[in-house]
Amino acid sequence: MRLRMMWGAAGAVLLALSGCASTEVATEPHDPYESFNRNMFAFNKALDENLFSPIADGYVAVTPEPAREAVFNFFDNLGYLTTVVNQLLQGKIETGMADAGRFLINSTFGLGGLIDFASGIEMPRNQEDFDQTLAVWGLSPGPYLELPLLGPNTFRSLPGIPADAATDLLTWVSSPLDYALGGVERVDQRARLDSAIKLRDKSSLDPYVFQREAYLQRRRHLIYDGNPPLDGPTGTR
Amino acid sequence: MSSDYATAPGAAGVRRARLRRWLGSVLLVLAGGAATALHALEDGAATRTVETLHAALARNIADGAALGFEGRLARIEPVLAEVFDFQTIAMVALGDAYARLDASQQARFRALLERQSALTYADNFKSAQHSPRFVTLAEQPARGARVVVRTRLERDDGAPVSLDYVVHDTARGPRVVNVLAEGVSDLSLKRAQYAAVIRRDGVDALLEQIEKQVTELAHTAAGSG
Repeated sequence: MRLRMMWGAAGAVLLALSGCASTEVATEPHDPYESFNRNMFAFNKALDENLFSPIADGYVAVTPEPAREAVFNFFDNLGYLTTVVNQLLQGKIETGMADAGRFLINSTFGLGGLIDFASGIEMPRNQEDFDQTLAVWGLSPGPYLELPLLGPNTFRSLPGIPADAATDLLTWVSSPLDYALGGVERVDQRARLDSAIKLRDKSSLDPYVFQREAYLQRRRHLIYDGNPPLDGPTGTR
Repeated sequence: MSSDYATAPGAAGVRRARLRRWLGSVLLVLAGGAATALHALEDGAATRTVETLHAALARNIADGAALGFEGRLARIEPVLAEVFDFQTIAMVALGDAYARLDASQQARFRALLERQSALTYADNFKSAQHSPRFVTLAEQPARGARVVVRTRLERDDGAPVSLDYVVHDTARGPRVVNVLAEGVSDLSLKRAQYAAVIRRDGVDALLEQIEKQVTELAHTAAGSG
């Protein structure tokens, strides 16, 4: 069900964009659909301020920090096969096998993933996904795209939406538990993003541009495993 | 790894305009660098500059509550003036728009950047909760006789945050021109936003918006202690 919903959202957006290309005035070459993206950003921001943020605040208010940590660890572990699979697809065999070990250790000694036991024994958490794999395989990101509900993306990251969902164990949990667990996961994720969203809104003159640039740079940082080459003479794009 | 983003019609013209802006910025930086004589930094010099900043932030963290916001601000402002090259930062942040400002506007913009940095550092580094601490990892050479100092901010309650500092030599010694937190460049964020505001509203409006933002930040930070 999660896969079908994600494909549906991506497909609807692409249909909408196909009518926009001829009327868009590109101001940045990596954001030729800026007008569309700004509208989607405004939609997502309004939805977040009026719905997701209050729910996340309520979740934080009633859930103690150790419990929230356990929730994050549980869902992070369920999704960790995505990292393992993509490490192997990128040819990082040793790291991939280590991450497979991390998943097994947290699933067993970590009580089904509730405890991040592996980090305590120097098996650090990595973060890989299909978008990073496509980048390693040589694909350029293509235009930036802000999707409704899903937020920042690029054209390259779109195939990763169903690919990463397919390697997330939560996807294969049968309904209606899928919806309930998925909802809890989304709320926890939103709660964890709260300080970043507040920073964006407090520090920026143009929150859309701030988010776009921060997303693209963060993705580049992940693709190069934390050591990207500097852009320009001062490290700026 | 290529980074060819443009696929839409008109992208070639946009790319040329962007290349002109980038070349203009590079020339501005090089002109500023020529005036301050860019040399290769001796080993460890860039790290010492960054650790001067970290030591000051660590003192603010340790004494944060006792000092209050004004105390932390008074402590960090002179250190930032010593550690950062705000002249170069201002030139890169505005790109070719910087050269179109008169001298008083350039001075006003630089002063706003310095003030904004000081307020941000004084507000964000103020509490010893979860024992935040800075760890220096390595120095790496970068293009144009610059050095990247790789560091990490560790806390007891979460994953460490990578902080990379781009440092170059100036007549006053090594100075930081950019900070990247988890790969996100503060200078890039400013540059992209300022370019968007200038395109939409003009450079005078940008200066007014930055001034308003700095005033609000000062008020909010003072209120949070």
